[in-house]
Amino acid sequence: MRDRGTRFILPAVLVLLFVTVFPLLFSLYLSFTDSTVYNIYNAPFVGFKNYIKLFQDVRFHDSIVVTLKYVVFAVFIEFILGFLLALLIDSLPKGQKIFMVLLIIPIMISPLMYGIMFKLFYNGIYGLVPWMFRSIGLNISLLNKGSTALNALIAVDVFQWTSFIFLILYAGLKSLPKEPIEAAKIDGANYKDTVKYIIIPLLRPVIAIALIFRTMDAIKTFDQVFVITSGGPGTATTTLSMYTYFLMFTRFDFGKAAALTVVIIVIITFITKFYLKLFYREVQY
Amino acid sequence: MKKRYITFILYFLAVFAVVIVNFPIFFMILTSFKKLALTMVPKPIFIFKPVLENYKLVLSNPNFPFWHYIRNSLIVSLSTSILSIVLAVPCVYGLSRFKIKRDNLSFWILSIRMAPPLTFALPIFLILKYLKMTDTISGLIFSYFTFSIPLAVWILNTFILEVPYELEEAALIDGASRGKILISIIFPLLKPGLVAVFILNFIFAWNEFFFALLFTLDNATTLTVGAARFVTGYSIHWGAIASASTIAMIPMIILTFLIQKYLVRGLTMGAIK
Repeated sequence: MRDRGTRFILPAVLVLLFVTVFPLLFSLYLSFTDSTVYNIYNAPFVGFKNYIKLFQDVRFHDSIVVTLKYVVFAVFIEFILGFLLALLIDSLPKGQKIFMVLLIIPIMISPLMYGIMFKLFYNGIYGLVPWMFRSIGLNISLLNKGSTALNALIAVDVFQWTSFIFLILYAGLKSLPKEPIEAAKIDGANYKDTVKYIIIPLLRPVIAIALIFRTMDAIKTFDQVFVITSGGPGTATTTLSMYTYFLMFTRFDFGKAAALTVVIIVIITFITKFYLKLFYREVQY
Repeated sequence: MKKRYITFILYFLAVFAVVIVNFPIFFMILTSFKKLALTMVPKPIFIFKPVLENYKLVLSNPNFPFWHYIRNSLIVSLSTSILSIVLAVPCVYGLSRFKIKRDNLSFWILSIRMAPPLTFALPIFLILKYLKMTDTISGLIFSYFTFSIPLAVWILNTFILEVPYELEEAALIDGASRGKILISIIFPLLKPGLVAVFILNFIFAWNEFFFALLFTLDNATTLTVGAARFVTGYSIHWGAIASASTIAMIPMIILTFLIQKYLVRGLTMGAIK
């Protein structure tokens, strides 16, 4: 018998099958049953009832809209700031490395810690942010109104994750070939044009990676929302993960939660395909 | 003259960015050394006499088993990183040295990394419940395999391609078994990759909150969940919260400096070198 190396691969693949593929299939099965906390594993089949219930649920619609707003604004702002930061550090004549390390500390800190920090900063009486607003004559309570609460959460995300986009794009800039950029300089192109016509096109695949990873991570945001607003006021900051948590541990409606899991996977598959199409166009043959 | 002026502005902006980016962390650490009365004022205070009372409170509060949380976090993070390496090294070895449809398998593993944990939350919770493993450390480690193994496989996959095949060939001709080659040749040569995987998985497991919140109650509660309990609890003691958070953050900040070389590769799953 030929040695095909299966025995080396099998342990990891089996564990992965058991912790990822099996749970997802299990979700798919549950999504067609009436599983609740009283009867989890042997609940009767109900066909598409959970999906119909889910799509009629206003809270589900709200959570999609909230998540969408959150992801689009957070990722967009992070991308702009992260890209500018990457260009800035890349253009320093000396000491780039130390600046890079100092700028990526936030990535290594738990999002939960950012949630806790900003809960302190946003506190209506003792918080730093309301104090700053007061000192310029504005008197707003950040977390009591839906729109400001969501913006406040987006700000937390930007504070932590701009560093991630920066890191990926900075690494991307360092891996670019030097010749086209040098050539443009010799031809007398100014910095803005060099960035627009040479750096951005060359960086496209790296930008795709940064955006895909960040979008996926932003969709799953839970920690900061959980500590800062718990999804409130009302449902103004109930993201998809907060909604999942709500279905699982407040409603104990496992069938519907399973249907939600399936819907989220479908959405994510589409987003990934969309990004790849958008950014890998030129690279594909 | 003009060039020096621009350079000065660039450095000024870079320093400004570093200050802004790290300000929340800095302010949190500052708060942890404040007396309680100083945290409860409507105006932030930056100059004060530092005290350690918050740390004493956190580390010796009978209602708040902080050492228990630290112990759990350490066990979970260490086991997650070690077990993922033990499973991933043979896997990447097999993938690189034998003819297997590598691309399909690699893509599958990458797409697991993409799937957010919230899609695994419900089924894994119910599986753990069925196995009577909720609120156990082994159950939590098991759930962390969803991210630790794909990360380990992906990073090591790029590192193993740099291990020269000739060394193995010589050993194979000398009659060494594949298992022996794996332990005595591949393992030592993979060391930089193993360090990166170990530390990244350690950090991710240490920071994880969602699964830890859903799957534990008391017995297996980790530091992040413990710290969150402090905040959502009935009494808000900002000094204590700040010092609990500082204790959880400091090791991660130190690790950042230690592994900066591997960070990019690890975080991009090897897509950029």
